[in-house]
Amino acid sequence: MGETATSQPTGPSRTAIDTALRSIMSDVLALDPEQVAEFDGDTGLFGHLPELDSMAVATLLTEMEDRLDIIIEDDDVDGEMLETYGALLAFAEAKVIEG
Amino acid sequence: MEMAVSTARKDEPELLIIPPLFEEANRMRAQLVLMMRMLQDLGISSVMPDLPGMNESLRPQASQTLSAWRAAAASAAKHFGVRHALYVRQACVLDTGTAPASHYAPSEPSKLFRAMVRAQSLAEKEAGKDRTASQILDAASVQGDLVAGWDIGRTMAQELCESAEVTNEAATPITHEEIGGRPLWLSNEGGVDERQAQALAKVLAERIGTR
Repeated sequence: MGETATSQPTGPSRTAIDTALRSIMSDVLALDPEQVAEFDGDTGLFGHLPELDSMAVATLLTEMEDRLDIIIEDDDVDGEMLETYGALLAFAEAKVIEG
Repeated sequence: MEMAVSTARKDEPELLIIPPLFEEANRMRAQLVLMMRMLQDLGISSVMPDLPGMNESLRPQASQTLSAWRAAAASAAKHFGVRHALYVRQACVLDTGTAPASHYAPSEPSKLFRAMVRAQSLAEKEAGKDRTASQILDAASVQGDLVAGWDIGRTMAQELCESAEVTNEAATPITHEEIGGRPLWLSNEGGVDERQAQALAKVLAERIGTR
């Protein structure tokens, strides 16, 4: 009998994180879910979406902590992670894995 | 005494509404006023006073504390002689059980305060001042500070950091899932949602009953 090929991954899947993040964006920016569904990796966020001011970014990060069960440190927050939807999603995934 | 929005014509209002705190108060105000009108159509009058230092209040914002707001909410419930009180979001921690109460989508004030401190840090970063969220939090807790446009006193900052979710265990919760729709308190645009207002008014009307 060979070893089991794969073990069940723990924590939310990539798709689940993506879905949660889009739902947060829609809530915080008051955008229709259809609009947010069109976001791709290159969609510009901070500095590109007029709705995304400093209070909206702060609310977004706090909701991410809450719904993805992660902690975002002061040092984590930089222009790069907020530049595009792809960068923010990659950041969220890394944080979830970090646990 | 503070200003209040009221739908009570002659009689005493039946419901007291204590709005969310700070940023969320602004985001939710139009929705709560819409909900008050819908309640009026269902035969229930209500009143929503300003917390001292908030909205139209002339009291200095920096000298407000959660403890003082608890006392203000309790004294409003007594003054208006309401049969029921609705505490919204962070305001749920202000409920001391003066009137039978509903807690709508309760949320810890510390969570909102964390977002405000972060927003302040991001705004300072853009202005080249560059204080971290922790540095702002420390400054606010020691001497008070302007945080995301709100003048937060030292005691308020300390209370906001420590605040628990709910103080009055006897209150009946109304969850956001029960009402559904987009959580309006999360977006700067705020906005109104008639369906949500209608659903909340219906739940409250059933709880309060008509005279």
